[in-house]
Amino acid sequence: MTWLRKPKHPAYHLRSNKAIDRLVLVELLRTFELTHSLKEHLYIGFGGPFLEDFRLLSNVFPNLDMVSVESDGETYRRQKFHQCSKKVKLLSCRFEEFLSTLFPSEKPTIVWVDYVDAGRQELTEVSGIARQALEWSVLRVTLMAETPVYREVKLRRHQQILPSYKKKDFNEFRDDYLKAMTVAEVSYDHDLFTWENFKEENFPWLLSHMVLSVLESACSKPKTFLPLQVAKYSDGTIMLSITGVFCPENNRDALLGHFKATSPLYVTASGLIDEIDVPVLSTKERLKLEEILPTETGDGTVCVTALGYLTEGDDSEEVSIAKMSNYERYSRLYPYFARMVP
Amino acid sequence: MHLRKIPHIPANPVKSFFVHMLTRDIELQDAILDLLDNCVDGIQRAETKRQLSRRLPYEGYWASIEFDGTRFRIEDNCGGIPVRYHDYAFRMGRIKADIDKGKKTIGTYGIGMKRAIFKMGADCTIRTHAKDGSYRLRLSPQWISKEDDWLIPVVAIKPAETLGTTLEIRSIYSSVRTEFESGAFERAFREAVATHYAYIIGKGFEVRINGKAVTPRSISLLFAEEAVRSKHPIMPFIYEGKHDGVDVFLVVGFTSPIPSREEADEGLENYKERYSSAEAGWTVICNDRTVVYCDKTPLTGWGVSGVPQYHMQFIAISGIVIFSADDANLLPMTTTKRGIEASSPLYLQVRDKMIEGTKMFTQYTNQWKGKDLVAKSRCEMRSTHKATLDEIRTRALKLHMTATRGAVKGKQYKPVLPRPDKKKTTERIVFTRAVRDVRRVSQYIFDSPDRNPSNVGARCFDVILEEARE
Repeated sequence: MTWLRKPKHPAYHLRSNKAIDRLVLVELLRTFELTHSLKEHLYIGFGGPFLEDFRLLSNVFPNLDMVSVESDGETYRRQKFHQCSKKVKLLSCRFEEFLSTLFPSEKPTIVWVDYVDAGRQELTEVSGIARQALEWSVLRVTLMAETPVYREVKLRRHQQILPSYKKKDFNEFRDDYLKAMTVAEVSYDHDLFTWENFKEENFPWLLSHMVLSVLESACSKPKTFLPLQVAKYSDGTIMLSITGVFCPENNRDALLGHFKATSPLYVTASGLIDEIDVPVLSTKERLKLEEILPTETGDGTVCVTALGYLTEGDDSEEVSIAKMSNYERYSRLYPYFARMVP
Repeated sequence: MHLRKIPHIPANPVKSFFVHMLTRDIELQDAILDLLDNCVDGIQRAETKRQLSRRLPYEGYWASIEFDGTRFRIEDNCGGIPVRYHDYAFRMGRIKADIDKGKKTIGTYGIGMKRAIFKMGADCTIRTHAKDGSYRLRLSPQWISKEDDWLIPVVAIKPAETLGTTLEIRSIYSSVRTEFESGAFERAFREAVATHYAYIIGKGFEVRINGKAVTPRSISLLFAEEAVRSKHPIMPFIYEGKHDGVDVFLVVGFTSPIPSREEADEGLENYKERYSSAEAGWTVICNDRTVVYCDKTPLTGWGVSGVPQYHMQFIAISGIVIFSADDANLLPMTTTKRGIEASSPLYLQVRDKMIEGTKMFTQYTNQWKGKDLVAKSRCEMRSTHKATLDEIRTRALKLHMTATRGAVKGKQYKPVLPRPDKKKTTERIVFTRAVRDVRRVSQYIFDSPDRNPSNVGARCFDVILEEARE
């Protein structure tokens, strides 16, 4: 008898929320390109076995030089098989090593570090990027944003109130967590590390506070990090994506103004987190919805009424409407996955 | 009700503030180094730009320091204190003026010499021979204690052939006398001059302490021989840039072959005798003076943004950064001139480069420290030689430097250091157990309680591995 093993690389490329998140980056880059040429930029990413982001970006920005950094030897060979453009250079090394030895200091970069974890190692690498990236570089950080609190304090998931007998355990966990996430020269606002903020729905926000603190500390003036979009989504695991630009302090307001005026995807830096949480829809359903989009309210109700049923099953009115509202926001970026029979 | 006329408030300084308060902010050693700095500033003022751009600009210049329980004396041949510098040299504090414009001096606040005098004793005589006059002045105990008397009497003296200054302090304070009489102070001070003045002494300056010349502690870095330079040579990371009137030169690399993981184990009993961290870390030089020597803290980027915290594994990594400016106010140093102003935007930007450079060498060290690999690394390092800072600066001109951008623009040479061929196939396991338990297991496995603990641990692993394979 053999074990049924979990695939090393789940089909992330076929997941709608992740696919939308990928396209959000493209849209933000397009908006950025309106004020700042990307001719000189170098794209650096992790690629994965199918080089999905590289494929997408080389379609939209065919002249963009790109580097994929991969530490797994077999995945690296698989990437070679999927190499989509001569502009893509494949490197077999750990990102930490790349950052120490090969990170460019003569040209701006677009870096997407798509991590599967969220620990000190990841935050330290982010800090390293912030220190080395030139002004007008773009950074996207994606981190796993599942709260560790339920596992560590031994509580059931979705627990809303911290039982009084668990307070001591929670305080110990919080202190350990803060120690584990300490990054040199970065100070987090300790008052934010409360039970409320460790809860599943708020943890991505807390994590974004940590990432932004790291970025802020690592930027030597006049370089500053301007967050453009912070989003959470689930592709089986809750993930957090933070996208922004390293820009000179005195250009910050102008760039901010440009994104506010031009990009519907821009989410202000005031702590708001966008959610990417679209329903799974068939092509037939999507064609039906195309007929009525955009709706006047944009809140999902018209779409649900048009379909005549709730996509998330019985007693799911609130969730179905919320998901449909999210679909309205991202319908333009919702990918069509099709099965091709060779 | 009539308001009576309120008199203006006097805000003029009090002499005792300078005599008794400012002296608390500085260590004795640093106060004397301030006097030595004045000697070098004298050369900067006396010499032409052409002379100062030579390889040994300070050759022929010297300063001699002597001290015992009764007096302190510093004598130099560095051009004397010109009469036109009186306002700067002898006033308490410096009125912002362009008197040193174009000169790479280090004096900024006009307090160093006076503070050093007041730190050490109550009676001081200065004799100086400058181009525009020879004179003598005395800061007597009476003058020092008289609050309202700000004028220092000056007496003309017979000119001498050699231009220079002699400063002698008597009525040494008891705490200072104790220091001067101890051999420990002289040794520590000699060490401070050997490190902080290494760069200047390397440029030809001579410093004698109690009659004996100071030997500089210069740092040299491994530099691959040109003839045998491979695609991935062992070379230092070099950066040169300019920002708002400050020139920056930065170099970091290896001072010697790297230690293996086992050799760098701080748990070994005699590691301190066998390996020295003395040359490791970052040295920061401002207008030729070393303000930070071999620092291994976050101040110079250790433990920050991917650079590991300093430990024995990195004893072979050393870096030097040189700031030079015609206006000393632009330099990122503290008022004592023996430290870095850590919040200076210029320094923080340069520190990013220091971090970038350090990371390359910590990365290399971590990749090659394994038992099998370290020998190969040492073999590679055999085709290098130790280059002095001066030599590196000259050789950098021939290297292919790429332009860098960002706030501090410049150019850099970033070597691509060798990478080990093999993928990591082994893992190191370290753990601690009670001695009695180790002895018990040793007895159980080897019929002897005294086997080497690492052999005991290794055998335990092998036994379980065999079981796991079955």
